[in-house]
Amino acid sequence: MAWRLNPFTKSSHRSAAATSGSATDIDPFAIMRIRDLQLRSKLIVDGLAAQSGMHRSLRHGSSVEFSEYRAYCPGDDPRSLDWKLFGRSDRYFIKKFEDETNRRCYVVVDQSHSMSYGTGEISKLEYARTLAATLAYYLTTQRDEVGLMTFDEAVADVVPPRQRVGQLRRILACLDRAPTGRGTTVTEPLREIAAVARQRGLVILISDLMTPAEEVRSGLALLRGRGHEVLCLRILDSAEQSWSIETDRMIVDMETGRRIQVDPTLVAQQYQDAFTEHASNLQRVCEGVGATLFTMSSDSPLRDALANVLTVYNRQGVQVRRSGMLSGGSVATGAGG
Amino acid sequence: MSFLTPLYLLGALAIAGPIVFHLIRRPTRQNVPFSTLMFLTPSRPREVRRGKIDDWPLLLLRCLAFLMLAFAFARPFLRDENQLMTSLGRDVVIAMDQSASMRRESLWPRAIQTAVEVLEDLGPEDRVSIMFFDTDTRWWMSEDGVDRGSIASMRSDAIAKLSSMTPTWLATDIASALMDAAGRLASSGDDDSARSDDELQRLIVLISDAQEGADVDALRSFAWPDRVRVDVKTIAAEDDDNASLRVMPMTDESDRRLSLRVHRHGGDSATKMNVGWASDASGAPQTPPVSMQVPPRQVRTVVLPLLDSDASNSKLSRLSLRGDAHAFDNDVYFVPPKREVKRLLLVGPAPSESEDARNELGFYLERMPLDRSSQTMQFVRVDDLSDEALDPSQTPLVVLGRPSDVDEASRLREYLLDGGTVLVVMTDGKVTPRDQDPGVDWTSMLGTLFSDDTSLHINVAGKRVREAMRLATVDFREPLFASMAEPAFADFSRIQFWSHQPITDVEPPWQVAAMLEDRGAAMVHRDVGDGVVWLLASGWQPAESQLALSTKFIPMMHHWFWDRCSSGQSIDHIVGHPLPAGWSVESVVDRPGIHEINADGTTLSVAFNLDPSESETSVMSVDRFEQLGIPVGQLESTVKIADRQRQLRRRELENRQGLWQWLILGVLSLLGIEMWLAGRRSAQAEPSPAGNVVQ
Repeated sequence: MAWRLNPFTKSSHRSAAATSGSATDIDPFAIMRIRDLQLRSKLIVDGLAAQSGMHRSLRHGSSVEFSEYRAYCPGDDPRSLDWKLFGRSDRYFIKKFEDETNRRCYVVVDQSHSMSYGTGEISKLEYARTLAATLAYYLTTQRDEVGLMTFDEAVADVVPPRQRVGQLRRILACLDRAPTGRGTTVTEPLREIAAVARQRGLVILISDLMTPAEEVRSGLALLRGRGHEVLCLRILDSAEQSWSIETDRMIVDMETGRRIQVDPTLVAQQYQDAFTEHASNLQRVCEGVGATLFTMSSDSPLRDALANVLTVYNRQGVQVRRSGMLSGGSVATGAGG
Repeated sequence: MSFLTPLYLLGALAIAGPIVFHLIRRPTRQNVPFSTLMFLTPSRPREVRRGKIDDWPLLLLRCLAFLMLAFAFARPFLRDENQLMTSLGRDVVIAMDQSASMRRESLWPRAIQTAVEVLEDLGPEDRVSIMFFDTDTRWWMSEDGVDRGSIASMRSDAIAKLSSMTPTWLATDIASALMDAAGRLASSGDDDSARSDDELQRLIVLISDAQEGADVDALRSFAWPDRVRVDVKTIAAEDDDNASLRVMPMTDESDRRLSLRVHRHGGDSATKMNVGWASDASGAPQTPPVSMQVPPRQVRTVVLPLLDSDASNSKLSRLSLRGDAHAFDNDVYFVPPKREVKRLLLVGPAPSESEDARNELGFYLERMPLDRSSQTMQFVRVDDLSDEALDPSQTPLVVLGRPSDVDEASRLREYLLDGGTVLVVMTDGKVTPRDQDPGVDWTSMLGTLFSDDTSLHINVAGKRVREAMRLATVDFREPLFASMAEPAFADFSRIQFWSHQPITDVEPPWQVAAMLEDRGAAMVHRDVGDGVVWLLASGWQPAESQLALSTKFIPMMHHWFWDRCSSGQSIDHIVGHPLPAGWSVESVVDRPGIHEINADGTTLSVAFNLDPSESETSVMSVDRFEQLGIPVGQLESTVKIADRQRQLRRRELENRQGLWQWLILGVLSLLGIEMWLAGRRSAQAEPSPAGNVVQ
């Protein structure tokens, strides 16, 4: 089982700043203004490849690993006969190989209302969509089977992982669909995803994870229990990472509509403490269940953030382990740009 | 500076609003969406800050805007005392109804009180006159005689005069009173061109009970002057239940009964009423009264025995009605009538026994129904006039059935000159044979009658025509035929004349009333002195014509007999009505009762009664005056007039200055500055953008 993120391993030491000014570089924020998601993801991947100094698309032949021999039975496919062994032993044996297929990857996107928040040019949701599209496009180019699941308080759209023509288009179409849900409940959607995604693979959870850490734990543990490798990409707005409202305002919860009045001078430190604690809890939860948590800021160039994610991910040599609960996860924070 | 609507200045208190709002820093109500509240806990609202104004320039702008707005609504203007001074005088006529109906209850004191109130409402610039009226109008004070500087003394004099007056016994003639007052008011203001055109400057204050019986119909044809209004102050009685008593004319002197009519003019349920005789002195009933139930607005007739004048020992008789609310018209005075006898003298021979009496002139005259209510016709037939007294007052008509000799003609001429009527019926001599002078004929008789004239202007000497003829022409302009001028009665074609004496060559002063088919005159007449001579070409008996059998004959004879005869001496009269010619009284009769009248040398006892219209006491609606084209207004007190005029002047002054427009302009300018400043403050207050939602 090899997780083929090797194209990035060679350029992991490169920083995004080192590639700025390259002829192939395009303004990352200008890319985000491109409405067509496929073009946007393509540009990002191309930029990512150029930034990483990698060739654009590598074709991997299907590797075959020997599993066992067994006696030939009538009805077996004659093509599976090990003729060499027959030459040596004059007996018919069927040579069985371990099924080596391309990797399944589930991109799970949180489309709750809290993801619509954004103080910059783009919202967290738009950032997450672009990120999901970019990953799907990138993995598709590697001939991996990429699927998509979106959720808010429940699973909304499901595109099963396939490697076929039009798969990317279907994924992008789902991503383009306007969200209809409101709240975020991570546990239940992740439970459904675990039920749907029976074959092991990589689950990339793109969410702001604005939910109690314990809820995240149960969901992630379920996935990990299924043998999935879990990569959590947490998207945050800069205004969420540090309190920026300075005047009297009624704060309205975008998901529940609840309104509270806060004193900006009093709440800033309190918010920062709670946010940091929650982040720490998330980190602890991810480490506990063997998931990898990356935190990305929505105002950071997606290409750079994605490169950092892949770099950190590959550097830590993430391996799929069935007993992921026993191994520690990795955490990285996309500082952006 | 003054204000037209100063109450709006209270709106300036609205500046408390901005001040309070600037003192209070309200918790923000601006919503900011945020991704999650899981890291936030509600902070308690801040303490309201007091004692410190938040933004002085904005506060001043807002307060100033409110103040200017309040000032603008208060309509300020710069006072100009010269222009505010008003001086308006009114011409007011107080028309006091003094008729008999004002004797009811306390109407007259209330009317005086109303008049006093009107006087107190008048100002020193007003000119007032008081007019008392019933059937006549009496002016107590002319406007020219009022001292404008001593309104107080004028009031006291007027009140004293009012207090001294009492209602009369006369009827109400509101129309005459109003026309008189309106005429005076209209003429009084013609030379006062400086007066303004205020429509209430000339006012008639009519203080009356406005009874239905009051005469107002004459106003219909009266051209009401402009700018004269009438303020009708109705003094209504609390109880309008009134009944009146009237004596019905007696038709038969021998009948010892008297018919009385009880008319109830108001009320709401049937009431028992009593009618009986009362002596004039004590009022005690001489006979038991007759009781009856009279429903509202109904008439009942009752019959009382006529008192014997000897038994009552007096000529005075009074009938009393009891049972209604008002007693002023309950007494009716009655004098038993005395009939007058008028003679119809037929000059001609008495019919012989052998002849048919129906072919004789007197047969029809004797049976002629010519009696009137107070006069009786007495038929007298004579063949010789020498012994008869020919007085036109006693014998209004002499029918001449034969030609007269000179002596008779001379007496008839004197009779004619005194005003008598001679009807010469040129009958056939065979019918009325008389051994007369052969030289005497119709022509000579007429020559004697008109001896002062050189010519007869008529020819009656022709041979008698014995042919059947009809009337060809009837002059309905003649008073003789005027009563039959209607098409229904104008058919004379059925009357045939079998024989007639031709009347030709008719010239003025003779006048032809009717002509026969042969163009000869059938009826002509000529005035002689105060009298008149009629010539009839034929007799009316059936032997000569069908005239006596015609329905036209009685009206014609009625005209000849009564036309120049007085209607008789009435023994019933209405108080206030003009006395008939020839009557005279020692003192003016101004109240009901039995009064002695000197009538052409004889003394009569005449019953003077109240005008029946005074008993109709239902209150007339004020709308009635408006229907008659009289503008109705209200008399305003001097204070109200002054206030109204002052307010009007102030409004004119304010409209001319128009300060409020500038104030509104200032308010708009201030609001513009305030909006700009507030927007700027708001922009400064929010330097950092709050979180927004990017969909």
